[in-house]
Amino acid sequence: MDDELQERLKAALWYSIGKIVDEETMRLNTNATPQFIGALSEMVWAQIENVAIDLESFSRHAGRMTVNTDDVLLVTRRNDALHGIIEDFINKEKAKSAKTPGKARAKK
Amino acid sequence: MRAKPTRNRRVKIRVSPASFKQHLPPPVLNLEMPPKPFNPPRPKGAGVKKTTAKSTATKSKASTTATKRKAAATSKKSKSQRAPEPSDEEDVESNASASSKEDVSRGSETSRIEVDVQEGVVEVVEEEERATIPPELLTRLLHEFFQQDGTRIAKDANAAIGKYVEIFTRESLTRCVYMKREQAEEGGRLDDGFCEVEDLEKLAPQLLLDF
Repeated sequence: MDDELQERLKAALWYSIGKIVDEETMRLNTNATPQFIGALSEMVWAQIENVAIDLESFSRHAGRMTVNTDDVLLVTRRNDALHGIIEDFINKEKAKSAKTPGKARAKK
Repeated sequence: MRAKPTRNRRVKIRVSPASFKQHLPPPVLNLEMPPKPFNPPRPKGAGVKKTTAKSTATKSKASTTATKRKAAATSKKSKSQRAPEPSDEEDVESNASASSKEDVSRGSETSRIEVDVQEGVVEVVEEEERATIPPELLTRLLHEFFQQDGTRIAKDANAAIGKYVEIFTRESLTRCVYMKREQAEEGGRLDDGFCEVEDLEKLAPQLLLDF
């Protein structure tokens, strides 16, 4: 990844993290300095990097080329609460796509 | 194994009176979610976190049932009344369309339904407005980080990772707020209401271990 691309992706991530932080600070009635958001973005960047490599390894270990939701659940294996949340989320999304068969068919 | 208690907890949250329900989300976050970072033994901390998570999950489900109920209620209001049957919240949640008929038949229940419906609308809006990492950006990032050629990612998996990152972000901020509040209580330093890099540095190790 060249530097320019990396900078642009980081900027995009920063923007998205900033939006989430803004929302959360409103809810928690607090403030976050721009430096905080920047540092958090760096952390998230590093975390995504780790997770991406883990996910890739997990899917290869299962003999797949495609990362699927089972791999994501495996990433959260150490944190039961997080595992539960992600599991719920995945089930909810599945139910949602099952309810709209038109979309699911269009995907195929 | 995990599914059973989860369901019970959901029901409990819904049973609570509407006025209480309105006030519920902020206290749960402020008081119960933060203790986690300071309770390293996982089961206890994990349980606390799960409660809050479930409540949000419940919310969205409740909102869908509420909207459904709204539709059912409006269609049924014009029709003849049915014999009143004893129905509690649990029935309403498990069998939304059927029990809404019973609810409408009771005058006192009607007002409660309207409250629920309004809440449902508010919650739906809230859910839609939740900021998240754009899926396209996340896909791009993941592909940049994949080390082997030809690794692909399923759409639903991508969405799940987005949720993961979102939770990571929100959790870091919540922990920061809680940590500052605790420090202020101890009198260590003044809580100026600003989360700074210094705070993030303090909570980062545990946060990264938890994710």
